[in-house]
Amino acid sequence: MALLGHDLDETALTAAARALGSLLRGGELLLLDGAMGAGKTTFTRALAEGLGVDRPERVTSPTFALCLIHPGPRTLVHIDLYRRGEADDVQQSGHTGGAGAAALGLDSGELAGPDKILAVEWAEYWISPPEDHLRIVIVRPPGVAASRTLEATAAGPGAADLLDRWIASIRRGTAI
Amino acid sequence: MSEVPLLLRETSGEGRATDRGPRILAIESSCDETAAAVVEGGWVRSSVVASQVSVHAAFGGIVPELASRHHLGAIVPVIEEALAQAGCGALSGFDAIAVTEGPGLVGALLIGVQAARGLAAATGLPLFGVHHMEGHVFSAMLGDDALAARELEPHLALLVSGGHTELCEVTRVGRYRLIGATRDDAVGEAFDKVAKMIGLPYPGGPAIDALAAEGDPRALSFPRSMLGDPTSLEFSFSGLKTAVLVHLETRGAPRSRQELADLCASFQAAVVDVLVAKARRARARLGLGRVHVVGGVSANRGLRAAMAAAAEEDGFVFCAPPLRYCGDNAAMIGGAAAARIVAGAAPSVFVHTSKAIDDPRVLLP
Amino acid sequence: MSTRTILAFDASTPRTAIALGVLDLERGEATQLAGVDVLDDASQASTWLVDQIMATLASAKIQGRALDLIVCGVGPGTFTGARVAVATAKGLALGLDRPVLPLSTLAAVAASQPRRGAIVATLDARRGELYAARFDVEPEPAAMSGLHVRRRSQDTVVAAADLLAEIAQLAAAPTIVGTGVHVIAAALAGSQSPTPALLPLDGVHAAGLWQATCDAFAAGVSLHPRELDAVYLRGSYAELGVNRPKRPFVPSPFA
Repeated sequence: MALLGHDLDETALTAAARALGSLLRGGELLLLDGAMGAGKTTFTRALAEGLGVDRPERVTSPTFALCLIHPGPRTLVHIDLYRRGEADDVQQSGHTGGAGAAALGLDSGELAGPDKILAVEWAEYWISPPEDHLRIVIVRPPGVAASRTLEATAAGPGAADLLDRWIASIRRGTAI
Repeated sequence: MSEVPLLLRETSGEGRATDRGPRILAIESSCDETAAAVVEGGWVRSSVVASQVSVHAAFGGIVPELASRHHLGAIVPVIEEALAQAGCGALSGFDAIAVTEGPGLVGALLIGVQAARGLAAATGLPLFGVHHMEGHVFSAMLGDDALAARELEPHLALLVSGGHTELCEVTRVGRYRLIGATRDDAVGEAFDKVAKMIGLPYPGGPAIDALAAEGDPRALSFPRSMLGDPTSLEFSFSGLKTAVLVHLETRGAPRSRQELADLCASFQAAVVDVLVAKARRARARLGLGRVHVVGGVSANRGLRAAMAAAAEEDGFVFCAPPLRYCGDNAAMIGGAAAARIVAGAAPSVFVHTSKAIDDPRVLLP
Repeated sequence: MSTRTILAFDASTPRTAIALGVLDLERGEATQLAGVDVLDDASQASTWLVDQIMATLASAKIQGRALDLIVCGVGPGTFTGARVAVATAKGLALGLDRPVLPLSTLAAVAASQPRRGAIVATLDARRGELYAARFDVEPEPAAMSGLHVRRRSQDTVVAAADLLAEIAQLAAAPTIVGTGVHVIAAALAGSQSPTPALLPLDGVHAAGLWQATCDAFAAGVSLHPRELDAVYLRGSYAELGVNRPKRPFVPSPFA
C-alpha cells in the first residue's frame, strides 16, 4: 500500500486525481473505497478531467443511476455499488460485461473494452474484483470536514505500473 | 388448454373522443414506480402508478434487481387499469404508444420498453421513446378533470429528483439547454443519505420535509455550497452531506424530537437556499418570465414555499406540478410524447442509462 | 378450429431463439414455418427481439393477429434475458388479445441437442452453480413432432458437485448438455471421479424451441399475460443477504 498524501484539502485531492486521470491508457479498473462523504465522486470528477472525457463537468454521483457513462477519446464508466446487492454478480463476470452488465442492467458492450476505464465507487461491496486493479482509499478523519488521506494499493502488473507512474507524477508536481 | 377471457375486447363505435391531441398509452418503468397512463395531448384521462416503496424500504434504498422483478409483475395490471380508468376497452382509437427510454436502471427500463415494443408491434401503433426528464418538464403542463392543461411557454426548469439536480432552459418542445447541474450528489440523493444517517426511513425526502416543518431552520449552520461565485450555476450537495456527518460525529445523534426536527429544518434550509438562489440567478440571466420546479423533490413543501416567495419578490411566474404528477408517473411521459408528435418527431426508441436531456437524440430540429 | 398458429421465443441463454409454426390438433401434426436463432450473449436481445419476431412472421406470411398463442421461454437463465422475453410476450399478447404459455428454458435446451436418451440440461448459473433438470429425449411417433422430451426432474439451481453426486445415483449415466458443461468440467478438474458424457451447447436453438413448444402445448395451461412471470429459482442477491451494508441502519427513536 502506498500513502499518496495526508491532510489533503480538496485542491490537493483533485490534483492527485487529475494526475492519475492523465496517466490512464484504457482498460484500467479503479476501485474507490471511502465512507460516505469521503470524496469519491469529487475524485472521479477530477480524474475525468485528467483523462479528458468530453464533458467532465457532467460527472456526478452514480448512486441513483448505478452507472454513468462519460464518452471521450477514452470512455469513463463510473459505477456505484452503494445500492448493495448486485456486487457479487459483478464479480462473476469480471471486467468483461456479461453477468455484471446484466446485474447492473447494462448491455455488455458498455462496460468492457480496452479504450474504457472503469471507476467503481463503494468498491468494498465487490467481493472479488478482477485481479488487475488499483484500489484507491480516501479517508476523512472523524469530526473534520476538509482533510483527507489518500492511499492506493496495486494488484496485478498493470496496476503496479500505473501506481508507480502515479507516484512519480505526484512527486514531480507540487500539488501534494 | 384453458380459455382466457378477452379483456381487451374491441368496443364498437369508440372513436377519438376529443380533439385535445394525440391519444397515447404511456408507460414508465425507469426506477421504482411502474406506471401507465392514457393521455390526449396534455390532458390526462388516466394515470396509474404502482409504487415499490414498501419493497425497497426494507433495504434502505432501491435494489435494482428487485425493482426489475416487481416491474415485470406490475406492468400488465397497470396498463389494464390505465385503459379501464380511461374508459378504453382496447387500443383502438389510439394514435401512439410512448415509453420512458432513459435515463434510469436499464434492467427496469427494459420491462416497460419491451412491453411497449410488443404492444406497438401487435397493434401497429408507432412507438415513441421519451427522455424521463423531458417527461418531468411536461408534468407541469398536464391537465385533467381537476386542472386545466397548460401550453408550454419558454421557461427555466429546475429538475430535482433522486438522480438529478439540473437547471434547464426550455424554449419549446425538443429545445432544451442545460445551464447548471450538480457536481456530485443529486438533491434527492442527499435527502436520502442524510435521512439514513439520522435514522429516518427511506425515502428520506418526505420524512425530512415533515420533520423540518416542526424545527428551526436557523438552529444549525450548514454550508450553502457554490453560492460564493456569483457566476456559477452549479450545485454541490456532497459538502453539505459531509457537514451533517461531521455534526453527528462531533455532537452525537439528536437527543430529542426537537433536536431531530431542528437538524432536518437546518439541513433542508441549506438545500432550499441553494436551489432557490441558483434558480433566481439563472432566470435573471436568461431573462425568462417563468420558473418551473419539477421532479420528485418538487413535492418538498419547503422548496415550494421558498420558490413562491422568490417569485413574488423577483416578479416571475412560479409553477410546480400538482403532487400527483411530481413523482415518477406515465402521464408526463404521454404529455411529452404528445408534444413531440405534434412537433413532428419521428417514432424511435433508444434505451440508455445516462443521456442528458440536451442530448442530440432528445432535441428536435 | 383444429389448428393453432404459435409464436415462441426464448432469450434466457446466450443464444436467443424464435420459432413459428402450426399445430394441427385433428391430425396430430406439427409444422414449423420459420425460425431463427442468434448467438448474442442474451444481453443484446432487447434491441432486436421484436423486430426479428416481426421479420419471422413476415417471412412465413403470417399476420400477428393470425397467432393463436404466444409461447415464452421464462428461464431459468439470465435474469435480464428472461425478463426481456417475458415483458415482450406480455406486450404482444396484450396487444393481440391472446394467451401466453410459459416454457422452461431448460426444456428448450434439452430439445435443442442431438443426443437421445437420458440427458441433463444445464445452464451456467454462475457462483459455481448450474440451473439443471433431467429429461429423457425419445423418438415418439405419437408425439406431434415425432419426438418427445420427457421431464424427469424439476428445474433447479444446484452446485456442480451436488449435481454430480445426484447423477452418480442414477442407474443410467446421462449426457450433460448446455452452457453449464464448463462448470461441471471445472468441478471435475483434478478429481478422480469418472467423467460423465459432456456436450457443450450454447443455448436454445430455433428447431429445439419449436420441439419444446409442441411438448409444452400438449402439457401446458395457457395464461393471461398478466400471470406470466420469469423463473429465477433464486432470490435477488439483496434478498439472499449477499453484501450486507457495513453500517447498519439505526432508526431514530424520535421520528
